[in-house]
Amino acid sequence: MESRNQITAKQLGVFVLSSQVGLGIITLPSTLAQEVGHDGWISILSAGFISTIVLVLMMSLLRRYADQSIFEINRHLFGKFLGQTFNYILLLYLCFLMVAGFRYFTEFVKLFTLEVTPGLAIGLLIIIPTAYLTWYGLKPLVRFANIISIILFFILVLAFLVLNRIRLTFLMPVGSTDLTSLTKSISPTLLSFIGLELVAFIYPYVTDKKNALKWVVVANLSATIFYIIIFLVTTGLFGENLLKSQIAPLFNLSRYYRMPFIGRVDLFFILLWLPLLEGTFRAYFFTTYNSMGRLFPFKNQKVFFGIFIALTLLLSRIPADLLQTFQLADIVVILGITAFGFLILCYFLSFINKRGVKAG
Amino acid sequence: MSRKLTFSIVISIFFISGCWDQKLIEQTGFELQLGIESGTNQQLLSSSNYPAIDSKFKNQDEIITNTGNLLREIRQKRNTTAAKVIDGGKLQQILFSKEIATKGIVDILEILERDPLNPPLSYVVIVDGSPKELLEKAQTFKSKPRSALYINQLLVNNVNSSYLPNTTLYDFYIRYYAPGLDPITPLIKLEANGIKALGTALFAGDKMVGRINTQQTAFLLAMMGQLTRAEIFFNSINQEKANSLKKGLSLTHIRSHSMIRVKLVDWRPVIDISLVFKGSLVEYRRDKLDDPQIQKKIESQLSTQIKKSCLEIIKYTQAIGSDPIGIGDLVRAKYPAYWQSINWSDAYRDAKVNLKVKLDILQFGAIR
Repeated sequence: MESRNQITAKQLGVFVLSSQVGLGIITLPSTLAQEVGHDGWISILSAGFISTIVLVLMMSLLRRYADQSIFEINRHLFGKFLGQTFNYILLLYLCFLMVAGFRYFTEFVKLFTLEVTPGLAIGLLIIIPTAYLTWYGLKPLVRFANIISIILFFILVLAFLVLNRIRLTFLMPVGSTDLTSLTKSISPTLLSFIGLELVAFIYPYVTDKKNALKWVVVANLSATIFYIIIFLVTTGLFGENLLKSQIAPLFNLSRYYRMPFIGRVDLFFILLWLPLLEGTFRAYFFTTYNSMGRLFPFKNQKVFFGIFIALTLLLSRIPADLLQTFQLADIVVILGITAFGFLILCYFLSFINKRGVKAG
Repeated sequence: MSRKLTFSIVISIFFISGCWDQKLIEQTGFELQLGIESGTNQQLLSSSNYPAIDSKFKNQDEIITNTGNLLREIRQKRNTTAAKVIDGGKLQQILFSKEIATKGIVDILEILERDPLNPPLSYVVIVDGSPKELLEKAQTFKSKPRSALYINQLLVNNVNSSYLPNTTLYDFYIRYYAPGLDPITPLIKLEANGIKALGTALFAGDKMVGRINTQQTAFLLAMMGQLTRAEIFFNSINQEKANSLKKGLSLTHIRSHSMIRVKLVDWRPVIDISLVFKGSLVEYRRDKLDDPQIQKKIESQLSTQIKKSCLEIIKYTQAIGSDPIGIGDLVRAKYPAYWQSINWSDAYRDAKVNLKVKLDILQFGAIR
């Protein structure tokens, strides 16, 4: 196994966190305000709990097969032909999420900073650092992903700075939303937890596998706590009605805060949003490219990588406008939940078909 | 690989230079103030003030006035006469005429929220009169700084003294969209030798429905829990000499704590407001202020005066149907079923308010 792809369990946790939080947090408060008003934190808590269960079952599946990824596990479970078919479907899933995440990111850069610059040019700018890191492997990519800790720290500082302007009444009455609406809201909330399934693809690269479960659960819980804090702060500050009409409440949080001597605090935070948003794309870009390499071993990697970048750029331009890009998110939710379900199914099937399961 | 890397960096620099989104500073006029009032033919009349950097004269501002149906349309018209491309990214104050504010302003403000390049922290201010006239006249005040700076300092100083509310674009939106909470904004007026802070414009939804003066603003902010470092003047508490021109007393550095509780009695909201003020006495007369009994008596009499003023403000807001304190928001949070069954503007008019005021004089200066 290539050493440039080998990571520790702790780095796996960082990889999961950056893939989840990146795009997951942008629209979440607004989506939840529309679905369940100020009770959205209950949906986040529920989705966090469900995703943790998915994570634990997925890790149990991977542990049953020692050093193997979901691609090898599928071949054991479903046989060569059906297993490989599932692998191609999973690869398509990765491609779709990568392209959707890429386009989503591009649209937000265009909306908030470079409104006149063509989307293709913005896309090229975004893809260059990601492609550079991916070329050198998972290890440098995850090392760079550590930047998320700095970004999350600054966002939490920002949340703390606006704390005195929060109206607790905006978060009350607690639990006023009916159970049906709350249950329905869990599905779009799970969008913010998609990214954890990537562990199934890169698990063989983890060196200290015995700690993997601990760190990915820590990452997932950290994402849950972060989402809850941001939801409570944005709702307590803006109120659910104003929140409903906003596209990116987290961006508006920095636009709201007035700092002495600094005219536009939001311009400083834009520098932080971009690497945060790129986290999701970066994780999917690497996983897709790496998975393609494993399923279709090309001889000339450089040519293949160039084609892969070009295709990613071109495919991301398929949605005609912002509205179509938002509609992609609905498909991503369905696909993500299906992927979670598939991994759980594999776990239970592994008790029936024990081929490839490690002894003991 | 190094050659390819260099090539990539060169390519990326080409894009990073932002050839599409570049704004040349020397060709851009940064709009600092925007006045909006009614024009002819049911159109908006907008006055935009920006520093004329390359003007023939130093420290010159340019005011451009246009009419139109949309602010973007007016901005476009402005660019047909301006020497520079006008950019709204540094807008400091949005001044609405009182007349237009009574008709509603939230739709006009929409563009400032929709376009993320606009600053969300501009002050929303109501002008008793014409914003156009105010901006034009402000340029002629020889002893005052430039218009944008002058009004900004006026607002900041009075906000810090709690004589004006601190209302930015976002604050206005938050209050407008929150059920049971109404916006308030600073109210100013053009006078012969300057611009005067009049107090607070009170809104019901996005329509201005009333006004209170600067002293009343301090009391309103105290009830809202936002009073900071105010100075408040009181009427005489003892019989003054008949021919004395100096009457009353003054407290400074006043801080306050507000506690509001709501309950329903016979399906009618009853609001208990408890206010605690702490401040220093700075102007009065020699009256043995170190005697606890005398100080207590003064505190009691001043508390009565504050209570009377606060009750007057609440009754006034009830009469005009504006809820700046956010009592409706408290009722909604505590009694959601009741909230669903009523029209708050009617219920607020009918609400009973109990007020308790306590005042502590912390210091009384260097004489007794």
